[in-house]
Amino acid sequence: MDHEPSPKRILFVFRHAPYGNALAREGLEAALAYGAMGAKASILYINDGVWQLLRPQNSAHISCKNMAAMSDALPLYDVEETWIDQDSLKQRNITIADVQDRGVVIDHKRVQELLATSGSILSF
Amino acid sequence: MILHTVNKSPFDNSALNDCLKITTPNDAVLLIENGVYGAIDIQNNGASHCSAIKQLSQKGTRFYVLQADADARGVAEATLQPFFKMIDAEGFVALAAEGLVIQSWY
Repeated sequence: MDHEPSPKRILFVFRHAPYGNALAREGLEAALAYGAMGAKASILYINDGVWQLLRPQNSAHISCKNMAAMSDALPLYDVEETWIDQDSLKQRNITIADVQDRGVVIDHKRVQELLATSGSILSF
Repeated sequence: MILHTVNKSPFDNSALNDCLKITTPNDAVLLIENGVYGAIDIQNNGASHCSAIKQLSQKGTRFYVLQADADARGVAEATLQPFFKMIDAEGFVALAAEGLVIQSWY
């Protein structure tokens, strides 16, 4: 994966934790749908969205579809450019090692650049 | 004894901090749904909820996390602050039965 944001991409910004409300799941489903349609999509995990990256998730006892399994499907739909906000990880005591196989960890300035160079932004 | 339930993450909602401000040593606090993130030991990375929990716990307040919600979110017991106990649905019912009233913070 190259480390420069591509212009004209749709950027999905995931800001919410999974399962507590529908936002995280709907964002993920939208990103998968975009990928399935052949559109170029990237994802930024920031603020409470970084909680979506924790593993393992066992959602059997809360009767919810497993979001971790869904997000594992992202590369199959060609959604491979995922970015993770470093400050949000630090604030929550999540280490880079915990999440590095899920995306590229970027600093504050690069987050700003990513937002500024995106074709459009869909925020969940 | 009041049972307080908090179902929001302290990082995007003031519910937990609001709850802790008025919780007493007689009370119990149960974190459910997205509230379970409030139990994680974040090494006090600038978060007021961790010190408030520590102080209240030392005075006698009991702190709990609902296991099913923690498991769903990948929040492992080992990552929790030491003042928290994991409970299941039956434990939730027992706490509710123990309380005079239940206050839900959302």
